[in-house]
Amino acid sequence: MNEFKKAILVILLAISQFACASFVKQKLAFHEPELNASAEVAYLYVKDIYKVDDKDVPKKTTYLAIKPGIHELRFLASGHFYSFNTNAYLKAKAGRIYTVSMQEVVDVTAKHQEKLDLLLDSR
Amino acid sequence: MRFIFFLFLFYLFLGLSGCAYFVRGPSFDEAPKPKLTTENIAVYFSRGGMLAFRSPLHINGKHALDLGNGFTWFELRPGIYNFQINGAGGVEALKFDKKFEIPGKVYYLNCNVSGLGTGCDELEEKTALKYFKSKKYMQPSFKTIEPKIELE
Repeated sequence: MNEFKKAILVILLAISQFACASFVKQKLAFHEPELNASAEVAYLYVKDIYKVDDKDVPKKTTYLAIKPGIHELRFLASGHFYSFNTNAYLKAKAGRIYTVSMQEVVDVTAKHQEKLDLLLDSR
Repeated sequence: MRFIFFLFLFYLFLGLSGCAYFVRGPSFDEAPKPKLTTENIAVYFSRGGMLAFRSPLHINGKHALDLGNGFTWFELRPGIYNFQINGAGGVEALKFDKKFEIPGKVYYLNCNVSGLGTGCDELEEKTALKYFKSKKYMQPSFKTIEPKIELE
């Protein structure tokens, strides 16, 4: 194999790596909330949640913007031997990000605090 | 062979007698009643399904009692409370939040924990009274607890 062919092979390899990395990044980015710069709403990751306040959560939704206040979430929980439908109430505060994990409503704002602060500061 | 058979029967007897749980408390009519005011609510609670074992009941994470084939009640303020019922061996079987909104109201909850169906129903008073009258009262470790979430 001459030097030219080696160079072509290296370039192709680099392009495929770059394409693969971009694809993975896109996939990961999909799960990040696209937060709007607003202190008037809270955000809720809707993984496993199929209803919020008796309204169906559209398929392929990652998160929802919800008004501050009490909301009922219906979701599928995993027991030790089986899964079952259950619910949890969330008292949402503006500017916070929530999710449901292990049947508990969890405030995950801290994980995204930097991003949220930047967005709120840029208002 | 016969020895093994009798040993099996003996263990089966031990197992069943250990699991079976018969409530010896007062009947529904003789049991103490919750003090209902215009500001609080009463929640009657029983468990259906497989009754051969006790089910630990937790409210807002606090252990209230091990409920067998009986009923109990709580005097609560309106609000949202979390209920957790464990199955055999202490395995978490059912966990849910319940909102109680109307002061002065009596709520009747019956939860099933079994392989055939797990869930919790709020019973109408007429149905509930018939059902609860067949059960014995069991005293919980507390009669009231603060709501998990206060209503606005």
